[in-house]
Amino acid sequence: MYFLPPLCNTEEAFCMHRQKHKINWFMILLLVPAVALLTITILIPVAVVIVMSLFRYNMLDLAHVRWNSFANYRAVFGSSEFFATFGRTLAYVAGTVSLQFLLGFSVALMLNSRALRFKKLFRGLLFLPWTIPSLVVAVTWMFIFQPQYGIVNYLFRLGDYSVLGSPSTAMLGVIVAAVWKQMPLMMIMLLSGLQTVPENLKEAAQMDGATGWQKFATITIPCVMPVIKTVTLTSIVSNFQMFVLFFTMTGGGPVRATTTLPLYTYETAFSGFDLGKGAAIGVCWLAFLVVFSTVYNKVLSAKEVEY
Amino acid sequence: MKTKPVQKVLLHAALVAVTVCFVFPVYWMILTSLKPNENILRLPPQFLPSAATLQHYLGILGDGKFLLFYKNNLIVSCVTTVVALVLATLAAYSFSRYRFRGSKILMMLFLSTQMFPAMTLLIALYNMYFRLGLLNTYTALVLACSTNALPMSVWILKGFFDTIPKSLEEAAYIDGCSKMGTLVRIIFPLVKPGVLAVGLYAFLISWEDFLWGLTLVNKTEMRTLASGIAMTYLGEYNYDWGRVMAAAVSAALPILIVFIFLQKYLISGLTAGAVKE
Repeated sequence: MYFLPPLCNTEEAFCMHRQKHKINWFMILLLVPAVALLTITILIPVAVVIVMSLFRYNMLDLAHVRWNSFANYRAVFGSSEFFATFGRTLAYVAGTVSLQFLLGFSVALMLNSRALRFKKLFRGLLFLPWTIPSLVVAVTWMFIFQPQYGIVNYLFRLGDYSVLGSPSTAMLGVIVAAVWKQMPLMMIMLLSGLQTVPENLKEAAQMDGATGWQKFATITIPCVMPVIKTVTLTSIVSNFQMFVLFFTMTGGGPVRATTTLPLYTYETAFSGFDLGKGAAIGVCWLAFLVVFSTVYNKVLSAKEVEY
Repeated sequence: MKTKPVQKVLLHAALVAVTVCFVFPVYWMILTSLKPNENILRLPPQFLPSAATLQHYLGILGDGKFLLFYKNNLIVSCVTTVVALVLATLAAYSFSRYRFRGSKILMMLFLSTQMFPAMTLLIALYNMYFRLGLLNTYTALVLACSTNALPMSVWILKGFFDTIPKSLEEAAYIDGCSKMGTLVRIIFPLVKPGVLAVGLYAFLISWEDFLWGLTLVNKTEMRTLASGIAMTYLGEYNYDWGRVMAAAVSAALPILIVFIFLQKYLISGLTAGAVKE
């Protein structure tokens, strides 16, 4: 679970005390440790993985690492496996993010209502799942979905149907666990966004005879748009990388019904020992995320309104 | 605008329903870990505690592995928290106070590093750590977890530094305080809530880690909690659910306790990043 703040704006405050053109070595020195860490653990690995994706790189045969003129990429795009996996990943991400957004936004609106009592208690309890480590989330939901004595089968009278063991419902089971874990963070963010919507604006609209829906669509939504953009993008990017739930709950099965990109990359590189092809899959996926984030930011930024 | 009583009742009812759904799995996990085996495997399920037992907890405490995982995880998480806090404080202060050509781009680059999938980086990192002999070390795990926590930590802290007036430092300089002294003695104490929020966040992120613990470590005695539990207590088919749940509750407990007492700080830190005035 990562958090990705907005990539632009909010920096204006800086310009107020712009320094004269003198290099402040002290301030640059302060940046060095953090930049060094990110260089070693992110920037260099990105470069290395791009290079690796262009080579024949087998873990069992490290003596014969050589250029293989894009054979890894041809292998990736040549089989339907990659596209099927990509499709499943999209389905998982779309399902999880839209469900948690709808639920999170509804709950945030309820929590923001002035008529609500015990607001802090509700908020505290609803935030609880976010603090549970993902692996614990996975095993807890595995137990809840357990076919013989699991509580879901008991409540919905499913007999000994295995939710996580059937190709048609396994993905849904993982999505439920993911939404449970991630909704609280989205709710908290949206709630804090809702709290910044100017009250006097809504009152003015009320005077002019706006209905509840009109106020919501023309005042609330545009005001929280920056937060919506941030939380949905963050959620999309981090769910693209979801590994632990799939690895633990389904292992990518049954019959690959829940094999998403992280699992596919992991299998290819570490279980199949083909680091080169694994790197190629990883690079395709990385490129997609970078392009997607940029476009998403641009498109939704156009819908923001400043009051 | 007045809310009608009916609406008010509906609002509370809906919220109670959602809350029950979200809290139930936590309750169920704790309850299961305290049930004797014959009650765990009973239909219909027992929703209220009857016979409580600590046998599962005693079981995992006595198996010689769980405490080891716990110790490893505590070491990794505590060191990660300190590393992330120190690096993030220095960088955030710099980003907040000093503008140079490209500083905005650098900040954006910082934040966008989270877009790069950890799984992709892993292929290269595994190779690099293997060559450097860093597999199966705390160093590898701390480096990886600090990287996960750093960008957001910098972002949160920068927000807190931004709220402190610059005149404060200028006054300190005039009084003869050194630059580092000003940061440590004057500014740092003023951003304590931010430091607390970032500390909690970094601890949570590293406690949460599964991928790095799974891949950068392959010796049982170096495993951390998440990967250790997955590798040790989750077999192929038959799970000892009481034991699994006891391990799960123990793994979630420190975070849960910390969270209950310090929730306010964590939430304010997290939301300060997303919602800027």
